Amino acid sequence: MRMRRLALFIGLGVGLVGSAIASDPTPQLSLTVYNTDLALVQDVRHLDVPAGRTRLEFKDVSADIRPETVTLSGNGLAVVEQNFDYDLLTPAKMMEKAVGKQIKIIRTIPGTGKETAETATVLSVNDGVILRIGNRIEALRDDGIPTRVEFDSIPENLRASPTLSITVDAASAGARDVTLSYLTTGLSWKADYVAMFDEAESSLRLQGWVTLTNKSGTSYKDAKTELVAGDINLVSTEQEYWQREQTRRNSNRGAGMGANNQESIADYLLYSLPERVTVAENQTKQVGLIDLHGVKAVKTYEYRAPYFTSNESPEHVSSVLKFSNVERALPAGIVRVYMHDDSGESKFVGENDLDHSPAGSDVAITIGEAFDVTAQATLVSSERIYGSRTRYAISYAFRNAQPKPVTVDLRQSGLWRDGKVDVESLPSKRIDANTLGWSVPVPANGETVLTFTVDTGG
Amino acid sequence: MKCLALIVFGLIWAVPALAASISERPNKVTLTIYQPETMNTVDITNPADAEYYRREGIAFITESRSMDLPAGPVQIEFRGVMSTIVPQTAEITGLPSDVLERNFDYDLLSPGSLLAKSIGQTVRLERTDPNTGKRTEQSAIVRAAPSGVVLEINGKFEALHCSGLPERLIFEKVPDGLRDTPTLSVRAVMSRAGHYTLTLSYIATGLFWSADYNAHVRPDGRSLDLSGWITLTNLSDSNYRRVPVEFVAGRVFTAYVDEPVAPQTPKLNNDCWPTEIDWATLRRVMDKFSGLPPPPPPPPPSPASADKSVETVVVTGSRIPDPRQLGDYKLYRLPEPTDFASHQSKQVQFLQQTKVPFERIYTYAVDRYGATSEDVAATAMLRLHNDTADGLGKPLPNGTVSVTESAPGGIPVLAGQDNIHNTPSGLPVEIATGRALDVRVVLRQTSSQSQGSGRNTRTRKSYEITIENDKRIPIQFELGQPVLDGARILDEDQPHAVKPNGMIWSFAMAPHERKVMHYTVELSE
Repeated sequence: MRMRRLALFIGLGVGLVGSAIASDPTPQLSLTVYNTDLALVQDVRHLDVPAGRTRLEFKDVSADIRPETVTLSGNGLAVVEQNFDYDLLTPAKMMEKAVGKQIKIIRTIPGTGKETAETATVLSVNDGVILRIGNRIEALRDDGIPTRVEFDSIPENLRASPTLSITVDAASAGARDVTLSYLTTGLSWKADYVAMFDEAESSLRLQGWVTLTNKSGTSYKDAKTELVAGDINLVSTEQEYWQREQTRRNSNRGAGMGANNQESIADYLLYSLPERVTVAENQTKQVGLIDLHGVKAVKTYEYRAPYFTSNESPEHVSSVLKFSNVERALPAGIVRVYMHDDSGESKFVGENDLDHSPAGSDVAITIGEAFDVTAQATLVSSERIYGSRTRYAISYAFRNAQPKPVTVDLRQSGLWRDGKVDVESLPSKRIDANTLGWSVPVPANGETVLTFTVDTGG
Repeated sequence: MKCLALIVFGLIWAVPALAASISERPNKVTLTIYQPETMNTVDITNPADAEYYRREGIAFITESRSMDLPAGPVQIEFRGVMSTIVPQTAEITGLPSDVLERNFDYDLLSPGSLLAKSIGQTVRLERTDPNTGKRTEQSAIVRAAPSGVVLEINGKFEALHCSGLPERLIFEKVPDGLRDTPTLSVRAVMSRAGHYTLTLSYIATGLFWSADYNAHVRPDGRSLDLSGWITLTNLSDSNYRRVPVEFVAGRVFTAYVDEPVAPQTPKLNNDCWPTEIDWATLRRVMDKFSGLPPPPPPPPPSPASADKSVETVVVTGSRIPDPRQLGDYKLYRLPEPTDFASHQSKQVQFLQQTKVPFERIYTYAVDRYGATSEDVAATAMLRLHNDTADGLGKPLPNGTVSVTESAPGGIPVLAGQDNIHNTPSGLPVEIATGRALDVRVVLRQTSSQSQGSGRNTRTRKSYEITIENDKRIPIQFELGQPVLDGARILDEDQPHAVKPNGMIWSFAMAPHERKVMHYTVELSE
């Protein structure tokens, strides 16, 4: 018991007057956050460690820590063992661990309010607490009289919160940098984009935000934060992965990775936040990632038909926002598109997923369906030519109720072996082996009928 | 072994206490409500699903907020945002400099979180003698919480609320970082102090609109009066007074990730050691000894908490003007600012067209197998044209249409209900009202002959269709055969037309007319 008290005292000392011991009071916390609900936490602190064996207790590490991924390193430190204790201290647990030990019970006598104290030995804790008091055996509070229980100590290994403890063996006494790192879930990020589209100018402003969500049960203060985008494989060998990651980080340290730069590491993208951030518990934090002005963009109309069939009712064509992502790689996320209404106020007009998009790629975001532009297919005839070959005659009515002309891109799939166009009222282009594409101009408040005949193997 | 323990409080630090500038509430709010994809008014206003729908639907909220801000680093907290805000969609404009970061904090103050954040802290424990009412106070250190509370008192350890004595804990202050409500804030460095008008916009859930139409057939039987009503429903917890409300027609895609944050607070429970205490008896004994009257019964639950349904339905008399264009959608605006309370539905008329001509059409479609069927009722349908020339020519948003007719004697009867899909001006509207019991169809396959073999098999099927119009009025009838399997008409009583719903024979029928149609179709396979 004396041992434990001493330990606690020194522990508080570090917590309260840590700066007196540590020559560098600023903790160097860094986070590498993945977009797959995973983060690597690395905490470098300057600690005065005495020679010999010392147990270091890290309270309030993430509640979702993966204890098997913990490592601790420091100059001249050897790790003897590390434990993650999550047997939480509760009154019931405390009583269970007191079986065979002595407790003090204090009864308050109703009517007089007088207190009587007795020492009791706990015999068992099963559906009730059985005590031996002197020569008597009785159940605790069997008579319903208010009875307080006093324990001399908190049992070893019961913790107020999950606690990581690492026993190290130091070759010599002295202050040094000690690096603790581990993987945790509950901390993740994703990208959220705001695309403000100006249709008259055919341009958009693209702002990207990194959205960090912390439900890991602890706060991270002033953390140097890096974000990894990509689909990393996380199956059974997380530890292996983490070791690889650790190697990478160590080799990168001090390399002077620029602010607002993204670097390609292996098969994923790495983003460094320009300044240290504090990610509080139960917090969603957003930090700017990009802000691109004047991105050339165009809104198009598209209709996709998977087969050669009729549409009993007219279908609305999709509105698709297209732009070239020339400047830099964009991590996967949600793009929310805004446009001005006729009074100049910006309004939300739709959102969709953006896949990981390398620099130089073309981006197409389908934002919704055009109310005024419809497509309706009529299968005029389907004719078996021979064997499994079929000739389809199709007529598409594209209607536009807007007071301006539009162009609809039709994507007609459904071609199989040796599929080809026999007759068509507008020229088509082959998109891929089983898809044909037409650009169909539709006049203002008008209609265009596209007819074609294809013949294809089944 | 000499074993020292260093306890490192390295990873948790209090959230920095930069003095926050607080904007309590917006000066002006505009609500723009989007059309839910499939739900109709009955779904949305169903009280049983109110809690579910609170997290569904999409609305765009624009707030104008005026505030004084100092120069230098500031943290601006926005209070009074909608309860169903989707925090990652928040946008702030009007600041003289870029926003450094946006935060949404939902570490909420609750009995559980208060205790959990006080572990290791000194609190005061007050005990009341149930007999004398005398109170004693001691200082105690919280050692474990909130799944049962363990206190350290004068070097000894005791559990809270396990003794049967009235006990309570008194805290000096609220731990840093705990809040009364989820709070949106931004950090920025202000280039100059001043009075600023900021615009805060965000996506929120729980606001809906739906359309319902009533098509009343006029006594002439050839035209109808079409009225349309919008139902706006607020299933969020926020109340709005005198706000402009807009709604958008047309399908707007969402990524199904826009959800309000559901804050979770640690639950406080008294996880005591097992006792066989009959607590009710104990309380009675204690009450008897203390001579205190029993506590009054709890007040009856307020209607609001008892039933989270739509409490009020407000029907207004004014009309919504025709919509404006927003991108490829239609943007409607209520004619004047309106009150929009939590769990309220509001109905406003947006359409009233009279004397819209329509055709009454009865249909029967032969299915792909064309098996003989006995005496089937034809499908009844009203077809109108959404054209200005036909007294319409308006965008018709998704909604439910109820067709009513005047029965002899002038009593209105419901003839049927159907859905209207987003219909721009210029397109036909077809309203299926059900089966007509007095228009009967009998389909007979009169022959079936196959030629060829394998993949080159062709089958000729001949049909005789008998249609009886038992109505006292003339009708238009459409008989259909699907265009599939290489279908080719070899013989027919009258020419057909190919339409999106198949090969169609269309003809008029006089009152009480009986008509027999024949055709032969050749199909592959």
